Amino acid sequence: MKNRIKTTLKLTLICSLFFFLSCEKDLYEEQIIKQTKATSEKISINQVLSEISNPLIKDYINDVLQQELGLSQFRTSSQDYFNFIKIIKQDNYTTYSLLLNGYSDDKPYFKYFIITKEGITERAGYFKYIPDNEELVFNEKELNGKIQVLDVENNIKGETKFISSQPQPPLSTQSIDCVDTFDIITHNCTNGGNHPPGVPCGGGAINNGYYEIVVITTCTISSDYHYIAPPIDFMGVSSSTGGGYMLSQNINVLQYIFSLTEEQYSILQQCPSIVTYLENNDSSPESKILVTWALNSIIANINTTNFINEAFISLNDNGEVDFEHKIIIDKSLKDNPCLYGVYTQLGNAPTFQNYLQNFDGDFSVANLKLSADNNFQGNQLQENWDSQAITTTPENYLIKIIFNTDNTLPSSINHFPKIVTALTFVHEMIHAEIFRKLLTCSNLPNVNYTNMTNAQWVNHMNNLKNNFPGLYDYFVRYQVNSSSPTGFQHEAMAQHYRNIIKEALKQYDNNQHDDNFYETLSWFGLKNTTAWNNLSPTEKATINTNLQNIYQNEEYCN
Amino acid sequence: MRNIVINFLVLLFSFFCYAQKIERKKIYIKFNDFNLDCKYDFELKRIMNKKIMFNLCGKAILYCEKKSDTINISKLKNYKTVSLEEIEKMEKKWRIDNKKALMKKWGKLYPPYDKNSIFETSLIEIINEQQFVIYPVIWGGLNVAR
Repeated sequence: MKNRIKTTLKLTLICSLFFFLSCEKDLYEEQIIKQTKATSEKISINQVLSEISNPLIKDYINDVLQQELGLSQFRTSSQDYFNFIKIIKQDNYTTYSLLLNGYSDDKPYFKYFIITKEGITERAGYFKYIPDNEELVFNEKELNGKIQVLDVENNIKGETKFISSQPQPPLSTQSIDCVDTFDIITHNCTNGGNHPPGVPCGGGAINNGYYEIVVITTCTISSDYHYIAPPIDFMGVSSSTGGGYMLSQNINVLQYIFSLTEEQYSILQQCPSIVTYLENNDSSPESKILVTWALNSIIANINTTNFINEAFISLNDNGEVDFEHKIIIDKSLKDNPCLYGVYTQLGNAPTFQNYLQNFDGDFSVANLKLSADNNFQGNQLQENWDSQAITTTPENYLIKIIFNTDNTLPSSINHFPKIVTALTFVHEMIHAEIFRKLLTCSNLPNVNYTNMTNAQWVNHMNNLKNNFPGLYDYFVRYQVNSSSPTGFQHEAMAQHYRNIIKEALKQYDNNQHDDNFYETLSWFGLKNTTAWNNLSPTEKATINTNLQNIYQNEEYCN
Repeated sequence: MRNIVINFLVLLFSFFCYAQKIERKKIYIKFNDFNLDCKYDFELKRIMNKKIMFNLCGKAILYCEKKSDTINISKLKNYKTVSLEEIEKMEKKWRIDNKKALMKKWGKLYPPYDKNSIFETSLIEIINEQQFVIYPVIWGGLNVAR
């Protein structure tokens, strides 16, 4: 025999809850806490388990839901990453919701697992919205489709049709156990003006209005002991209030995003360039493989975040990236046929690295971005205007080499023979390598001495002394206590790296010239160093004359 | 007499402590001077992402990433501006004046201090006859290798 019990099931979908005029995130969060009628936070599945006491729901989560999540394609990491949205509506009730399915071609609906808590009563079930047409995001202001409330065994306990967010008469397919009425209540903003949700308040106030979908259900509850009552109160959360479904409007990209673990997803949120890349490639299989690899690389080593973000910015801008060797070729360099041609002839990153590793086993071209600047004069200090290129100190582990392609300057690399361009590549790569060594000694994302603490400075110096004693010697002699803090690199280069330069250039042009030729070039950019000053006037004059001959006789790009 | 000696020692100690403190020197640079005299074509003031780049005619590049203040022109006389040449001299003097303090703080080998660690720099731009703007700035392009 069945007992007919009248159960009120309120399905409260708080949407458009957080419409803000301020763009400040901190303010946003503060305002949620202070001004809205409901507060929300993300909590893990374990936290949910610790906050509820109904053993049937706990068992269901542990035995059924987690198994389902484990089998699901879109949640693959550990249970710590299954985040519920917890919403407390003042002292009224608390809802925990977990999005199980976003809209896709395979599963064209939104489905949430819901737990509600009102006093000591805890209930669980599902909420499902089946839109009539393809909908990428859950838009509570324009619901056109079917809303269902289901128990944990997926039996429909309440169902109605919505047209333009207006509930229609109950459907005939509804469970015979329950009779439902659905309604949407608009809670206007109470911060002045009595605006509906989504309408900006005056004076910078936060619109704290929201929509509440109320389902009142009269049910006959089965005596089946497996049965867990459907949620008595349910608040879902709109896609616009977090959860990430707004990262892209491209359905293929969204499908890919849904397939990510929470860890991968949190990385993706920090790298909008990756989302743009997916959109540009319509989430092609190749792009997904690359992005998954990139996200996992960041998870494995968080220090690579900036490089990978910059890499995708360059890819989106038709640049080129060698992910294996961590080198970014900016579009500005790629579009310069001379620079790109020399870079290619040098053999790209791997060959380049091999050249240099022949002389220094540690040599790396990693974390480099190569670009060209047609407005070198406007972007760089006058003291650098006579340079063919500059190398910046590492910032967030990334070192940038910028070539001067500003034709208004006589120093533009475009005004030099190709062999000088090749030389400049090698010269700047050596600067980058020295910076890289300093970076490893600092154990920081940069080598900004201004911001170092005493302990960081001592650590940096000790590491430099122990790991690179030769460099340490030059650093102490020419950099510390100094007012011209970058000279030590040229001093070290003039004394110890000129052989690398010569041998790299010999390999570049197949050893077409005699040793004098390469010796002459190896001094390029290293004049005014101690090693140069130690040369006799005759030696200096010979090198200068030979250099002029190189300018006259060697091949130019144009 | 004993009190006088103690007071004198306290005073000396205070001076010693004061002398050991490494402080950034506050300086103001007038942007309009460079705007008037620059012979180059490039833009001297540009908005880049969330910061403003001020190019002092190639001689210095300064970035403002913080909030600026607009002030009545009558207050301009309260701000003594310096030229880049004067800044170079001040930098050299700062290094000499602070050498002992630097060694005391860091040891014999102390890190290279650049203009951002020596100066607290603000840029003044007169925007009209009634107002000027003060931008807190940092020096750019200091530590590049070429």
